[in-house]
Amino acid sequence: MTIEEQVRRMLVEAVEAQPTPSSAPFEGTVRRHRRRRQRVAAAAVTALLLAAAIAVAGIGPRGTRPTLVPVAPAVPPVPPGWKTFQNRVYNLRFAYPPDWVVGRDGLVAVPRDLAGPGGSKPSTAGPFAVTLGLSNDHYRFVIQNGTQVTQGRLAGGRAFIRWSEVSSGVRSTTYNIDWGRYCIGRGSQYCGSHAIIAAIQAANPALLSRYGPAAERIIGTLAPIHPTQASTGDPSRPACRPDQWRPVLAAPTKFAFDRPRWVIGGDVEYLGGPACHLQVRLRLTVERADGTAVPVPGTPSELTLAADLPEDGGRSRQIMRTATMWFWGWDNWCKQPLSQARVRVTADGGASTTRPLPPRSAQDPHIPCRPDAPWAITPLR
Amino acid sequence: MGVDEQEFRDFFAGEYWRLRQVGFLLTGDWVEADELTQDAMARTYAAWARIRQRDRAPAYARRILVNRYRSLARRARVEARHRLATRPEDRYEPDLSGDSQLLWEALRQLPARQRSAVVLRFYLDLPEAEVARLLGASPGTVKSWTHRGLARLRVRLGSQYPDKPLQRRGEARP
Repeated sequence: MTIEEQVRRMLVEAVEAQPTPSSAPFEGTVRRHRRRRQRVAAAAVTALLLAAAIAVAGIGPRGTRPTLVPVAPAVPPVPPGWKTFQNRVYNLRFAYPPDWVVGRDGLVAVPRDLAGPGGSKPSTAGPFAVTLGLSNDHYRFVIQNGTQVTQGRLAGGRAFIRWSEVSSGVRSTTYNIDWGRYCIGRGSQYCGSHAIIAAIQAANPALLSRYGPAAERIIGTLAPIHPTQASTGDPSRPACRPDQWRPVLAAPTKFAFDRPRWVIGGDVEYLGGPACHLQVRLRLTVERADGTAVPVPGTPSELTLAADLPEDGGRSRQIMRTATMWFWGWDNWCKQPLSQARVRVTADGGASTTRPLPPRSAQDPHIPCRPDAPWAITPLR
Repeated sequence: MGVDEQEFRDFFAGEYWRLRQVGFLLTGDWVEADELTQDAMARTYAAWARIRQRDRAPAYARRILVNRYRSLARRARVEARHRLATRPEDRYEPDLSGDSQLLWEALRQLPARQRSAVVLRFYLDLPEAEVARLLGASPGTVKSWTHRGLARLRVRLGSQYPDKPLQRRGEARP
């Protein structure tokens, strides 16, 4: 079979079992068409009213920016003279220096002198920017990529993970910040764990050196407008019984994009029963086919989980992007000389799940094993 | 219901699912695929009266979808990853195994243009000229994107295809 035929087959297989859309497709399309038409009409009316206001009052558009809302001093404290921005949809506020501008509903903050004429075009595509985004994933989900992260807390107490990378010449430092559990929008459409993603992007080291400290301080002022529940669930609930859940390894085998690391990831599958709080310790070991232990450096390795069921639990061998997911990294795993070996993840209560080691051919040849690097398993947190 | 709307319904019934599949192959996410497809269909609906050659309507919708996908991909990765539309329970991984799983993971890592070229060429079986029109590039450029994309996928499969070694300078051969 040629590579073209192989690709054709893979593409067909990938869409073979497509899930049902969340809404009726045709009706959704018609609704969207009507909303677009209404938005265009509303934008035209708004532009006319704004133009009229400017003509009558003689004020400039930057002086009337509607999204800048003055608020009381935030927690953590706002440096003197800084402006404050808040976005109610994202449930966040932050402060920024007076010589910076924000745009796109607060999704980007840029030094004024890098934001176009008069600071009128703050953009994520410029040479330096702080970008913000809201994720409906638990803040640790990115660890599934095998990314090497460091942990920390903002001054206001919010936990985050942080990592740096250089891609296409752009240096970026990204914070995934635990934004807790809450609902966005009407009803319970977007309920669950959320994360704020704050990234500092610089086109060169000089810009990073000049604006990086202010950017870090901006991120340090991020705080929610309204309090949220902890993403690790409600410990006042009854404890989950052992028959209500089990650990499962995720179906796809994943490898880090930037290092020879097998990411051993999984979740907790909810099996049934009343709502409960899960607090459990998982232990990873490596064993031969006959069950005898293989002494891999770093094993046995443990990590703990805390989450609510059924809300956070998975329904299959998918990682659900909630507090029940777990990850270990096996660095330089492709050096392993073992055949017929497997990893085993065992919970406190005795439930366990296993997975054979992937074949060495699964390793991306662009990222070969490092002959001198250690061979070890570590929890990814 | 007017004639035009009935015509659009027929067009919708014939094209929606295929377009949604293309959206998934490009984004790797059914929620994003739904967003892209509905957006493309809504815009096609808005332009329906202007699309006189009805047989060009599928290409029109595909072009909108591909352009919207490219806009998404152009944005900072961080911003694109964390749009409100992504709900944890809607995430989905195709049930693949063996080489198909490896190819799927490699496809997801291709740059947007190479990925678009590979999907349009090998899933929709569009000729290079049509892919070039959709992507706003010359046929030669599309040929190059497709070739590079396939080369990277081939590398992911190891040495099973030694008859077509990777030609890109600076990359290790399998």
